[in-house]
Amino acid sequence: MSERIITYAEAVREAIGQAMEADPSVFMLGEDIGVYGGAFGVSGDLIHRFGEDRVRDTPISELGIVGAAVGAALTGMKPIVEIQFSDFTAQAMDQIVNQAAKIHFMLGGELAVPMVLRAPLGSGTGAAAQHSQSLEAWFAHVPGLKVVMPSSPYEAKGLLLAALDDPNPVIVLEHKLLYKTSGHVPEEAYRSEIGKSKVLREGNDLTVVATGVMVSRTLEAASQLSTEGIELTVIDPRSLTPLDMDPINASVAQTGRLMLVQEAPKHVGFMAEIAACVSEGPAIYSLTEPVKRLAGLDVPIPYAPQLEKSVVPQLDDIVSAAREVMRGV
Amino acid sequence: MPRTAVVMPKMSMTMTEGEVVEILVSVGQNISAGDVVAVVGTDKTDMEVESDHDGEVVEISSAPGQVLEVGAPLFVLETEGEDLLAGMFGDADPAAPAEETVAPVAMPPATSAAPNSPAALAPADAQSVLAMPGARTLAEERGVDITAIVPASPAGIVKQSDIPLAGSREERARDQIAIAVNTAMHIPQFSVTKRIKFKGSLSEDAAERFVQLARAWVGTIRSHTKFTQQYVNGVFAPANVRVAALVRSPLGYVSPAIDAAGIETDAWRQRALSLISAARENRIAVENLGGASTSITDLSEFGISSANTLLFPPQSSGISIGSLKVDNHKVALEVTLVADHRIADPGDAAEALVTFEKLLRKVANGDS
Repeated sequence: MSERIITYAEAVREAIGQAMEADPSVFMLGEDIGVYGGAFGVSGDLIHRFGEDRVRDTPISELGIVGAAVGAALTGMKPIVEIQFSDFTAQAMDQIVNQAAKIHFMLGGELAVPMVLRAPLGSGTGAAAQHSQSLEAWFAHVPGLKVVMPSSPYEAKGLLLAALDDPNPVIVLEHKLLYKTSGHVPEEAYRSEIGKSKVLREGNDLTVVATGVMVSRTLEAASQLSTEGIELTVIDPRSLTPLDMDPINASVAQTGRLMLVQEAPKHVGFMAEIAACVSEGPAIYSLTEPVKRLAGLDVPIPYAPQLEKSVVPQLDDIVSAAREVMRGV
Repeated sequence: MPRTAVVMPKMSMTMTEGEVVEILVSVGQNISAGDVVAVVGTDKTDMEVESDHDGEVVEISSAPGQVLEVGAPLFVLETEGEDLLAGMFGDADPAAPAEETVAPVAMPPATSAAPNSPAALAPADAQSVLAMPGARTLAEERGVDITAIVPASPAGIVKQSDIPLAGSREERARDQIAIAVNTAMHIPQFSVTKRIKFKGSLSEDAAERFVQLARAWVGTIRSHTKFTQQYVNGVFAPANVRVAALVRSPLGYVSPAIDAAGIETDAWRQRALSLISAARENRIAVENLGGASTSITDLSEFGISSANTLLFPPQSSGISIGSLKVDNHKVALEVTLVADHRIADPGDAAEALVTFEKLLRKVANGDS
């Protein structure tokens, strides 16, 4: 049987559709997700399949959208919030950080907020500094939130369905450049495990941890480097919080070298956490080279396409950084 | 007294060159390790350079305003060192007081150990050594003083691979050789042997004989240019041929290498002779021990017929000389050419040996 290939956006839509079919309490809300089909075309025809009550267009108020979703979740619903650009979560931060993340704990565990918040992040679409950020570290830093970054169509569906099973809020950060990429996605409603890193490739020379769009870029770099005799292990943490360090530590113990690749600015980025976790445990004594972080520059994303590309790691940057680590300093 | 250069230091991971802002010493001045001796500018800031050595300034080789590559000399010191190999293998030869090797001035340590780390309990200067944590524990396990290690890394970081195994100085030297030999496994090499007979003779003195053989061999590969190439992710030709000699030193056999530029001149001959005599006396600087692109292994005085040597990266070819007999002024040498199969084929080697035979005859007849 041949594997079914669909796009990342279709995989997200399929997951939402299957969840809505399986559970009448699941509904979706956000800006332009109804007739328009979503800013990135993710919700598509869902309004026609499930009606306006379950695919709800909202006014332009992120604070209002998330507030309504938190309220709905508290009263037994399973809302899926779509924020058009993850940058706009800044408008909704009180509802996300102080309400959604905390209510379960403030009420002694009596109530939960089974809300899923989806938001596209990242640069590469010419949308400039206010629509291109990678803000995953904000959310990963808040206890009470789970944060996942699906890096492929397969994970987009599996992680979203797993997020909907979770009784507490999960932030799903989807990279805009991935929406149109294709991959194998099974038709059944499978789950990816939140809190389990995935080893996508094994090699003895260098361990690379990457998130979001950097995962596929790193895999491409790995096949290129393989022709030079450099073999990479590539690990996708999939969920930033909770974070599964075991495969990363185990791989570092084997390779002695660690490179971390993220699109977000390097300063206080998520990859700093991985570097810190490695340095706190026994894996640090296996390192034969200093840890290498390859990340976005600490600047707002520029509008000019050439500059936009140059401030985040591209394929060639990953290849040459890996060569550098192999050469040693 | 050996000379030691104080060089443009590498002060950040990305630094490849720096500007000389100020030289704070003058010729004739005596300085001590730790003295601030120069100010250099990087793309970020101006920084002070400290000397790693005691000694007298004998030559200023840079001037304010000049942009120098990392590792280029700022000025030259005359130190009291003799055993320049000492640092290479981790500790001093008890017989000869250890001296510094010619190594880049390490960048000032950017971090110090955390208060609770084992390193914090060690003496103060061990803490100030820039080292991978795993290298520190390995040094402790092997009972090696980490402050005595000269790191191979251009950034001056001591790594696990820099920590010598426990054992006598000779054993540690052997370990270093073992590490180098392991890298030789990656070169797919072949060998071709030819017997060369000629009238006349080569010098009885091994160092002079090296000069003769080197002239014939370098002349050969200059017309058979495949053998000047190297293979590192593809074939390329480095700008210079560097030829290594085999020299018996108190530590064992070592292979000092010398740039072949000007090989026809007497100045080159003098340089080669003094390099070989330095190696024999164990006074050779580490930088003269590596990076050969070709080598000459002359074992003729032992009467062996031929030897098949290993190529060490970045070396791509080498000849070894065995002697069959010397009879009525007729010399018969067995010459084995070993080469990296990625840069040349056995047929090329056979052609090169024909040229080598011609050139060697010329050299032996004294008309080179």
